[in-house]
Amino acid sequence: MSEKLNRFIRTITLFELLKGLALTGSVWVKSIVTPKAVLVTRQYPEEKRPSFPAFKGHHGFLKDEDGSLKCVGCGICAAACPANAIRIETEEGLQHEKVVTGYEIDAFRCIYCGLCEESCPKDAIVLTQLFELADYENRERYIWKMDRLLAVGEKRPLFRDEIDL
Amino acid sequence: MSGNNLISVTVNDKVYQVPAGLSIIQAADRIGVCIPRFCYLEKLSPLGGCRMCLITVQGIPKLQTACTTPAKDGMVVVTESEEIDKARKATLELQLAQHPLDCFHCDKATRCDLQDLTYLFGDIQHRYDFPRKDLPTLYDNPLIERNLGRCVHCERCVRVCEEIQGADAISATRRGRPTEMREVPGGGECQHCGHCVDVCPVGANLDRLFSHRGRPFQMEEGLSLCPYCGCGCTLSLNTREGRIMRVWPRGDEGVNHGSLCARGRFGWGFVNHPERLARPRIKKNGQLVEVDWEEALLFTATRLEKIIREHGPQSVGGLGSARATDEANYLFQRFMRCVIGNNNIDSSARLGYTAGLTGRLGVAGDVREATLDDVRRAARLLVIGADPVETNPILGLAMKAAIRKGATVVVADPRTTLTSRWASQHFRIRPGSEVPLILALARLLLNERELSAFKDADLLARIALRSEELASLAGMLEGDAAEQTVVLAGRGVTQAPYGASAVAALLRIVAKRGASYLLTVDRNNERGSCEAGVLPDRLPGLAPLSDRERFEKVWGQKVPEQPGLSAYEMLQAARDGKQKAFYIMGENPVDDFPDTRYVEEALSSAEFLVVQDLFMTPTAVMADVILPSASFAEKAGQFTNLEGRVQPYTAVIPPVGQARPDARILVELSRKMGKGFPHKNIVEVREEMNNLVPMKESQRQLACNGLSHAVPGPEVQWGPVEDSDFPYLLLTTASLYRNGAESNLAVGLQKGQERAALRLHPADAQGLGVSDGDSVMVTSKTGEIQVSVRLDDEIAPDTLQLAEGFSDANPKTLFGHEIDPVTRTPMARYVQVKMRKL
Repeated sequence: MSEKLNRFIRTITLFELLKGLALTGSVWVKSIVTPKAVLVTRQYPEEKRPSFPAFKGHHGFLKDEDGSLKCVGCGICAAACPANAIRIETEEGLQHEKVVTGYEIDAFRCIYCGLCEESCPKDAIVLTQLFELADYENRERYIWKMDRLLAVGEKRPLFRDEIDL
Repeated sequence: MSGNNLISVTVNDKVYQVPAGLSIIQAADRIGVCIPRFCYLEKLSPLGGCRMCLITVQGIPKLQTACTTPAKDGMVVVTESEEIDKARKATLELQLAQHPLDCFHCDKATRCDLQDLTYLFGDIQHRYDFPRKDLPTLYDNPLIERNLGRCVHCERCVRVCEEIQGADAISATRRGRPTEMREVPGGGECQHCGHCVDVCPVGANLDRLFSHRGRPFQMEEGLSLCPYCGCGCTLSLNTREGRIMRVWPRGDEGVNHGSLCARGRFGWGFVNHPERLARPRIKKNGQLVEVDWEEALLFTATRLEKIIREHGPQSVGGLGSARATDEANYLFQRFMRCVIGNNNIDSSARLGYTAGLTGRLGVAGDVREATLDDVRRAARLLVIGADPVETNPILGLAMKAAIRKGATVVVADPRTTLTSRWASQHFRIRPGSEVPLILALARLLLNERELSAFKDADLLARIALRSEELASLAGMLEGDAAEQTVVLAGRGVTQAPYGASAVAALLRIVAKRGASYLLTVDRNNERGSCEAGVLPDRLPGLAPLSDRERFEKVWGQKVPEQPGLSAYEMLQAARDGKQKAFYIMGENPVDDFPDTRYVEEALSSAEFLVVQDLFMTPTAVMADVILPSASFAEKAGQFTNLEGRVQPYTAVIPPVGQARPDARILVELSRKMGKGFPHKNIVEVREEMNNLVPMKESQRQLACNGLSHAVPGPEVQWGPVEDSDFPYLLLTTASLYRNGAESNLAVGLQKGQERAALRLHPADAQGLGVSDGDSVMVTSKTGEIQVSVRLDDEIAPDTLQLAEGFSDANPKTLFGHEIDPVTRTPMARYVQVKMRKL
């Protein structure tokens, strides 16, 4: 009986509603009162935090001291890649040397495992900290060619807006 | 050394039974015990130079090389022990001490014996710190690079070049560590067979077409058949992303037993050539414009139907292909017979195999046909009017293998060829006298009444042969070793007047003596196209037209009764205005048929010309419709080689652009013309064909009933007629580097030999005032060509030799278009010409 009465009183006084609004109100007041830096939620994309140094993001291609490609086109990265994301083209140069004429990473296929970096005998490819990989445009933008990889490798950007890709 | 005797050998504490007469390494390979090696290769003579195959034999204190030690009964052999390991590691250590270790960009990496053995032995010390000697890489050879630094001095390349190819191009120079395996001046000329690349255990000999274009582990391998000559060699196509990257043989598979020639190995460049036709084209207002398949097929069907309605079915002629598969040729003849409704079907086999076949059909009963293996085992080889080393290089290799086993080879040929240089005796008969030679042999060996009209002295005068020389030639076919005697005949016989009668006479001699014969075949499927029914007077399986009811039952359509026209008769009919349309599948008559101008005029006088081809050939340029077809690598089917062996193969890569296999084009066109073929795939075509033409093992059961041939009389003129305006006699030869239009577009063959060369005797050159490399204009009654000169003192004075197949100087332009009355084959072996210096 008393339980029925209790529920009746709670219903007509809108107790549950007020209880909920109280929580909302307190959080609202708190958010006005507390300084912004202490807040847990980061306001991405206005506010960005760099990824950790060991993060495996966008691939970069490196050059040696004379500014030539470190890559010798041995193809071990392509062989090591579990997702078959790397395509490499080489040709014979004028001095009968091996020339890397094309290097492509299919970003749709890549699983960012970093085996290419690990297997590379010349340390020519790295996975940088750049994590912002999404694009609005067509599929072509996801086939990363040599120029893009070289630009990322040279600049090692932390965020997308540091580099024009 | 009898093969059936077994001996017991104990290897690593186990007793095995092995055949007697093997070396220890051969025995180990057969029982599955692995002994590492660099220099040993089953097909080569053992060298014992690399010291990797060291083993212990009980009772012998020192380590022995397994490749040079014969296995004996009761022998106890140990192949793995600490002592052996130490010795092998020491050998590897020395090899690695001077190896450049440039595996990162070596094209052999991951297929390298040195790499594999280094991984196998693992902990190899590096105690020798002497500076690595920087040996150069040689790029003298346009197709093969020789990286001397990587060489392990196994001498496999030297031995394979000497023992199998017989070219003697590579030799080991200098001694000790700086030994170099290289081509030296004064050595043999490289024939670009590429065998040294295959056998090299490391990356010292490499294919330059493949150089740095990919890594071995990125390649996919697919088996295919060579599209050039009639040998039908098995190729392994190394492809990547649907493109051919390189070609090599697969182990010892196929009729070629692991050997290839320059064409097979380096002639693949046309497949992914940028000039390949990728879309159908139709002539609109005099211009060829690209259209889609639907439009092209509809256009073709409508035009063909209109011509048949207006001028009757006899007004359409068809050329099947001596290059296309058996299935495509089978469908083509069915298309011409059932859909178009006539028997006007021929192919470029008319220039070679068809004449020999007509000769074969003129002999009742069995005549033993040799296989390539029979040639390898032969004790005596008689070669008449053929040059197997250049037309069919693998047959040439079989001949060389026989020679190394002691076979006698006698060549009767007016030309100096690579084959004649291998002969124990070369009879330089008068040009065009192959047929009189065979008739003279027949008179001597057969005693037939038909030939009584001839006089021996008259025949010998025509051949330019003394009677004792003829007797020694006939001696080749007499005596005991008849079973091991093989007669090889080529286009010198089949393209001569009454060539079929000569072939028939030759085969009668062969049959009587119990010998065997083989006809050289220039194109990969000349034989298959004939057996598939691409002949104006024969149905599939060489069945006569009177047998057509059997075919009508299966095809459900009428087969015309009247025999059709052969190639040159069709061309003549077109010139007379009777032939209105041509359907040409994979042939290029403008380039391949003698008398270029005649052929061009005939084709251009036709109202409607359909060409199905890979490239914009001179024939395709004249066409009203061009249907792009798939190359050999892009379609499945079967080819029939010169022995009659039917070999199926599958597609390895997808077709370029919108190109389609020939068989598919024909099926779709037949549907557009309202008499559609029911086949859904190539296997159904093959089954239908095999039901009509039964197979036994890998050979077709052919209807070889006797034909009777007109026997020539003594009044026939064989050989050239003297003409003081045209003082020189030009003889056509074959080239290792060309065979048809495709070979001119293959970059590897262009590198092998870039331009045609007219070979002439230095005395003639002096009279003309030309030297090596000068250009001359060669003129005959029908045409003229410009070509550069190469002096050769081995060829006969007053004769010139020019290879067929080079697009820059086509000897076919110089010939006339007379055809033989029996075989209807045009004559294109010799022509009277004059020359002037340019």
